[in-house]
Amino acid sequence: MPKKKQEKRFIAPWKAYAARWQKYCTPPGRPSKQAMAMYRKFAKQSFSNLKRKPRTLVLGATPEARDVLVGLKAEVSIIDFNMEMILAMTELVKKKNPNEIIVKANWLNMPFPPNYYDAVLGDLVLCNVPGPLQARFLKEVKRVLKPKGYFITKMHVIPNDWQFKPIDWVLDKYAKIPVCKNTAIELFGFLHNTIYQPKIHIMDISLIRKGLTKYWKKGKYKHPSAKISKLLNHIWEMFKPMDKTWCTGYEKEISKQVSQYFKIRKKIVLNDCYFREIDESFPFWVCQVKK
Amino acid sequence: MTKQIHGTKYWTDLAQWWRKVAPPVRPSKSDIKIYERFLKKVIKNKKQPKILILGATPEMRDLAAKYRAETTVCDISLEMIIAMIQLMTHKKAGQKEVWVKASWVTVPLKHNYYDVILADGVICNIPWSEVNQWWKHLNQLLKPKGVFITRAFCFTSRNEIDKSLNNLIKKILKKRNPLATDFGQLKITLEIASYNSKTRTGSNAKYRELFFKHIENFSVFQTKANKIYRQLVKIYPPKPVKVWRIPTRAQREKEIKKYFKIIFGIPSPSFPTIPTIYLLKKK
Repeated sequence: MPKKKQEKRFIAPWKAYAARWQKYCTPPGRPSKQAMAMYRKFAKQSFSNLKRKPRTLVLGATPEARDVLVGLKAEVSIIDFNMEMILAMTELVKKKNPNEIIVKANWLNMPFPPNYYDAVLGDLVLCNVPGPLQARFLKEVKRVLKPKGYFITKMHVIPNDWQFKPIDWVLDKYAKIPVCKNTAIELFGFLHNTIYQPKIHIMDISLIRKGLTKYWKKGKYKHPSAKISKLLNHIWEMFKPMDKTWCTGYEKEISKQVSQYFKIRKKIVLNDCYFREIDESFPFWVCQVKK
Repeated sequence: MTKQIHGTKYWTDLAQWWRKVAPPVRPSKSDIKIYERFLKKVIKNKKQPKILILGATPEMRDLAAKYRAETTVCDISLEMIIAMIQLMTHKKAGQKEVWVKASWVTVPLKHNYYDVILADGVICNIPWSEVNQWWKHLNQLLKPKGVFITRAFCFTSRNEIDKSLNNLIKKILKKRNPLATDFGQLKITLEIASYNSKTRTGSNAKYRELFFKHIENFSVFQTKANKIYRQLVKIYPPKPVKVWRIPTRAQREKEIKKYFKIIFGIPSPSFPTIPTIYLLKKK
């Protein structure tokens, strides 16, 4: 994919998402309380035996990760390519940190010195990097970390035993379950996996839009089930115009890739979703720099 | 003191009125020509030099954009970095810059990475307690042949500053409509005249006291004096209080020489009596 197209499909949509984040984005699309507890636990673990103030980096501007780190009295840097995202997310941070270092730059060429951070935190970061650049990204994260530093991140992977089903089958499945505030984004995660193209490792959500065309009436989704219509309209409000691309792989493929640079210490399946297979698609990984 | 010097509110408000500000408070075209001359010496064969800019000064950022540099802009105020883009000629290039909101003293950037550091008047922004650490840090960020180009202000002597202040007031009184640059010169001179030898700092807090003390040397109606003062504080309000570290020339050059070699030190064409434009090479 040419560089300009890559930027348009991977990075640019975040400018629009920033404004809708607080209203529409819920776990598993952003960290849950359980995920925050994990960030806290493993960040603390990475600080053990330190005699100075711990140094941490957040990839992206995720307010939950920043709140966790300010509570741990760490030096916090954040890095994101979109200033819109940085500004919108900074508004949502609960514990304002005037000393936070804010950087607008590319994750692939970070301006930080090598061996600087004790922990790097991310939430669904790897899947936001185009496939051919993911190795470079992991190498860059390793570069800025201390030799025993931690890379603590929630991942989006396709479970190894994932069974691909048609979109309508997924909608019927969700029509039968009780709805809570996380259900719409959980359904989006399910649909995401459904349109995964294993040969090119891409999840192009315009395919979801195309698959749902028959339910699109007068600028809204109208499904026979009112519950599903509500969920689809929630997804549309968050991700419109549904033209973003994510890049991932089967769990074993991503593990292999990450293992080239990090030792994966823990893989934790959270309890954010109704269906276990979606929790398994968004696991929490604790990785440590490999010598 | 450190809080006052580093207070972000001052810089956020600054973005709003920077448009009204004229040289020598911001660098003049002739100042920039000197910067450019120095810059060319260093980056002559480089396709994409790596430049770090301390502060958000649009003139510095335009200069880096002109030479297609890979630019990193570092400032304590993110608002300032964003706001100053509006004042840039190369606005598109401004969007491509790496922006870092951090303290210049501790900013975690790659060592031995930058060919050039560009800045304007930054030396006076560093508290005395942190100045040694700051020079050392800048030295580390530069490549072995890297340079630091900056305009710097200093305290000369009480007599010289008083004389300079009187000359300026005399010049302004002669004019029916004083220029924005006259008020810029007055602002800088008043701040340096407020020099406190114990703390080795100056500030904008004593504009009124110093201005009216010096204008008494001239036979001028109170209404005229008030009018000039009002014009000054309209552009350069005395609040919020901004404290500057003001070294003497000898102190400044002593601290520079620990980590840098002074290649050139040229009086700033926009205001030859006080600021100097330095080209400093990493030691």
